[in-house]
Amino acid sequence: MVEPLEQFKMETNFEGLIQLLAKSLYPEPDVFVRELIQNGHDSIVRRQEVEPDFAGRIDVELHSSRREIIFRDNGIGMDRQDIKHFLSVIGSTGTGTARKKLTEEGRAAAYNLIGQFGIGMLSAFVVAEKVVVRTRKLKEKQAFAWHNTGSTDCILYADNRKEIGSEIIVSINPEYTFMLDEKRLREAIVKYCDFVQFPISLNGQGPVNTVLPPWYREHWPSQAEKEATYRQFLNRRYPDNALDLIPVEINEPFQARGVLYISDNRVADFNSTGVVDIFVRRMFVRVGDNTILPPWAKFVRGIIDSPDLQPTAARDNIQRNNPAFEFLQKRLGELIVERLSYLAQKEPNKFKQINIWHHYHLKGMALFYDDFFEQVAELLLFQTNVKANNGLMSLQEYLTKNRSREDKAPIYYFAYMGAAAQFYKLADARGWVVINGGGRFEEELLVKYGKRHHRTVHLERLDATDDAELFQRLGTTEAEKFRQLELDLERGLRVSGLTNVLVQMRRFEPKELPSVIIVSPETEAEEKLRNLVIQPWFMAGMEDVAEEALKQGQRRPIYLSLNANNPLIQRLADIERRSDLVKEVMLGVYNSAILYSHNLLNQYNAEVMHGQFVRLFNRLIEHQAEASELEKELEAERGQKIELQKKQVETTAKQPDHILIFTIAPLSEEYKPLEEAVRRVFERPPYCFEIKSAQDHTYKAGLLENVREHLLCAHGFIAEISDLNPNVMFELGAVMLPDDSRQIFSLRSQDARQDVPADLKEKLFVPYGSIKDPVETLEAAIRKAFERDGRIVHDGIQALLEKRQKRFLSRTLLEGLRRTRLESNEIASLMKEYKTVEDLLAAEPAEVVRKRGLPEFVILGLQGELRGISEYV
Amino acid sequence: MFDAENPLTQAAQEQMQSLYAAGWEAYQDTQWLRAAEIFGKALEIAESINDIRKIVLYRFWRGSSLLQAGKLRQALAVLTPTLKEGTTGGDADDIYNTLATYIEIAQDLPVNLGAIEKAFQQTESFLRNSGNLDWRHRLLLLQATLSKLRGMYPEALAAAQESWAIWQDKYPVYIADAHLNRLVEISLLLRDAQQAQMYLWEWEMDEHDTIPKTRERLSCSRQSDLARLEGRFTEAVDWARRAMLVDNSDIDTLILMVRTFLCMGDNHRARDELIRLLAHRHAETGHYRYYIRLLWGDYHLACARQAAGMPAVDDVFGLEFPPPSAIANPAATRYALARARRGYRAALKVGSWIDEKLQCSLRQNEIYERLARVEAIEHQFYSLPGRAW
Repeated sequence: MVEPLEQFKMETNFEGLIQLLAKSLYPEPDVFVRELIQNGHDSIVRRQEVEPDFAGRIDVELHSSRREIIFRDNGIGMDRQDIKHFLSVIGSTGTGTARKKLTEEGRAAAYNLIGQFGIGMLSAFVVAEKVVVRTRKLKEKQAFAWHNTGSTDCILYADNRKEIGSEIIVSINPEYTFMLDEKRLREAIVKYCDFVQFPISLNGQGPVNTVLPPWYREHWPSQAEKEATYRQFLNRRYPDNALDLIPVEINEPFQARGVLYISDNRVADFNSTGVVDIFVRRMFVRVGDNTILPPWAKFVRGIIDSPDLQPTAARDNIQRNNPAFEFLQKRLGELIVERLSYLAQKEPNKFKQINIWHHYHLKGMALFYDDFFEQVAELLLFQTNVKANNGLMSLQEYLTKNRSREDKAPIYYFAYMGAAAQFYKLADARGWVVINGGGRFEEELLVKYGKRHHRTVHLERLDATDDAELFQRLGTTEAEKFRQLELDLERGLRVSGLTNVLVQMRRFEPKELPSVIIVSPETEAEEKLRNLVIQPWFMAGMEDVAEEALKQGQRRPIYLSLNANNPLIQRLADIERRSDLVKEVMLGVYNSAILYSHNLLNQYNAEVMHGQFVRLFNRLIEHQAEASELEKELEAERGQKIELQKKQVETTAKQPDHILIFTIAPLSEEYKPLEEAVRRVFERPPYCFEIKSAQDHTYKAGLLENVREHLLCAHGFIAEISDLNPNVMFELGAVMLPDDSRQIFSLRSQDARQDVPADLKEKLFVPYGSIKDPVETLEAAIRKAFERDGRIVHDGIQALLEKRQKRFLSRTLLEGLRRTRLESNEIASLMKEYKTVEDLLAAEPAEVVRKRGLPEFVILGLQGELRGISEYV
Repeated sequence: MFDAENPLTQAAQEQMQSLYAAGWEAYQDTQWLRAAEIFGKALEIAESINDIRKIVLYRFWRGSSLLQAGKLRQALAVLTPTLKEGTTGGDADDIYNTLATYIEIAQDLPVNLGAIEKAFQQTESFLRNSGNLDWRHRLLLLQATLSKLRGMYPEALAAAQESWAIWQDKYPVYIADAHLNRLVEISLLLRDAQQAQMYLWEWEMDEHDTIPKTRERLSCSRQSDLARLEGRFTEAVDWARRAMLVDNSDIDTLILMVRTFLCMGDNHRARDELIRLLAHRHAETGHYRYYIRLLWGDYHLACARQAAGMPAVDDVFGLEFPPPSAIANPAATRYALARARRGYRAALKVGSWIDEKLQCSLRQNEIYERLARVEAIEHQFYSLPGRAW
């Protein structure tokens, strides 16, 4: 046995130890506010045990000039013994002793006492250079003043304080001068002591604390007022808004009061948490605790006050290995789920709003936490193709509507948000309700639901299946009909660089949809593999294989299903597809499918589409230019055609050099005298025109053709319109329509019964007495219309005369010669050889003699007389 | 959590068992996609009750079915969740099967030799750590396959023989047919008809459990190959037809059929089968992509020979290539040779890519040999009097 050399006590540097302990326990310098107010609170509670109706109060005074903060209460106070046993011994607690006694006596006040460890006064030494406690205990005459400068030496004085209670004067160390700011002090009081049940005044004003939080109020006039009060309380305390409130009223086996709320603050971060401010017996312990709510409740915030939670010694946290904590954690989760269920059933609009706002956390958490999934999976809303409720529908509702006669109800969905337009149309056409599972976590959630309920539902992913019910196969003959189109389209797409598109013909509704794009199972598998390869748990030796398989699979096939019901596709199948324009249309079919499924719109597709647009725009502009050019060409060709027609007219029915007047009269003997009168007027000087009727000469075999030729040759027209003979009116109409400025004169007997058409009234209207009048009378009547006093008075006739190049050598003219009397056959012979007077005059008499066999003297006489006519004209 | 006592779990187990039986039936009937679908349903149920052992088992069978169906990437996606570092909760034999299937896929794609070798090391390491080195025969057969794909036939034969020597008919295992098929195949590639015949006899005598359809198809195919090697082309066609009767959609069998028709000079029928094969020209298995293109070239070369009035030749085993003596139909010959060149160019593109991956020159040499045959016929054109190319 070895004898000890010496036995001694370890020494401590008390001042240093206090500072160290205080600063370690209380990292926040303002904690002394909480601790000293809490001491005052406990003191008042103990006084109320003696004087039940006593109204407690706590006053805080700031004296910046003196660098002092005074905490004053009207509680039970301390006597000399209390000061020595509790105030001067660290870790000895008067409150704890009192609580024990009260608990033993079964007094409720034990529950309200906050202090536990007897170390609260230490917190003052974090910021104070000196602490003075003036106190007088209830029913004691002597008051005391206790002075301490943070050392082992305490000095106790007798004090002259009259009031019952205590006053703690904290002289602030210059290092903590910032605590002498009233605003800061007020914030500390509100932060730590908001729910202390006694009013706290600051510099005589107040109370600055809430005193009674809404959940401690027992009676509410109405639910609305209760909710309004809660909201008001939350608005005052927190910066975010509450989408919904979840009051916390838990009584057994552990107590908790407070309010949780679904915040409008949306942090799409998987690591974010739901946070709660924790109070214990109305005294603040911890702000933003992220452990008491279930991990999935990321969208929830709130405040709870529980006397059963155990604070740590520093009172800035709670002990978690505590049955009350575990119970509350579970119960708060249940409260949230109960509230969500209630909202889903009773307040669907609010539930929808919350779903939209917090879909990331609601669905994500349901996916990752089985307990939450079980509770809410059927309540969560998904986007669908139904028109009501903005298309939002819960799985519960979906399954009610889609309940199949089969054993398993189908859940139709697609996993690409961008493909919504396409699959909504397909589903609408089939009368299906389809879920858009393209949102974050949605597909995984549906798959999880499908697995959990594989006995009652089966999932049908529309965008990864070539489902024969949705996309019907074509019969052999029909498939053969479209086969070439499939090949041509594939080839066309290959030329555009789209080498991975496989075209297949299907039949589906609606027929307005020419094509759809289906993601292949290979694509889906690749996506899954891509997600798996990046997992940290993946076997190192195998990851290269998977990664390279993915690299090789860059050009995964895309299935372009053409709709055999679509009119465009049908037309494409029928037409010749070699032209560039048709090729563009085929590429457009692919592009339109991509647009309807724009999740596939990668950079390359976008470039292809852009390229096509540019080409089509250029083509449009070119077409526009071509159209203008063609119009011009057409116009030119029209002109050429007219010219050609004119030339044709000239070649077939050339107008003579003399003036030719075509007479349009009924084919009747009774009109012969009138025709004779016209000839007498116009075939003789001064006119010397040719008067011709259709029966005088036959240009062409057909009646109409012949008349047309006559009309074309004539310089002017004379029509007999007394009876409005249909043939006359027809020919007259034909003459008038071209409006080619040729002269038209009309003759009308005065005994005509029918009125003249308005159009004809504009033309020269030559009246004569009667068709039965003698030729001379008729001649005089006609002449009267054109001549007056031996002068030509009609502009139209004047114009014709001006146009006249030669004079027609007519029978009427030759018969009317005064000196040269010619036989009828001689006249005919001359007229056959010489059309005009000028031609005959220009002829050598010998030549005329030779050609026509007339005596030379006759010719000379004739030419002489005709020259006389010329001079006369 | 998996709860074996839960009545729901028990019901699920029964359901899984019946699905597994149905899946296996489809697998034996070589209905690969159907089998994959059924195993997938069983997998879903296993996942719903969190039965890890069954999850690993069904994943393997679903992955294996997809691999057989040529859906390599889908198979990878199915198998990958099993490949976790550390314990997965599955049985060691199922995990080993999964690892071996992963290597098969890697070889089929193929991926870089380095990646394949790494996968081999990982699997070996798994065998060592799990204390199951007696399962090594499966890995050895895979190594034989890799050597064969790289053109290292003696090494391939050695590995296949060692694998067969230590083979035990005990799960996890490749069926005996896989081993014997590989042994015959490598023997034929080594032009060792006697050894091939020996293994074929052994195969005939084998009475181990098997998948009858697979045995029938593979043995007929190898018999056909042997007949071709020995120049018994009519028999080769008959054997190939027997293989086709078992499964007329299998790509290997279709390739075999085309090859035997070409040997017989029956180009018309070869063309019909070749057109069916062309539907697989985008197969995920890189070797198929190569063989189909090579066969396309071979078909046109055969047409060129026919047009030139030359006898048919087996371009795989036919070592003695008779030089053409005359050109019967120059225009048709010229056209077919041009098409053959085009086919070989396409094959060379894929073949070079595979050779680069596997660090060998097997396929490039094969194509150059074919092109030499094309050039030999072209040369004949130049040498004939009065002919201009």
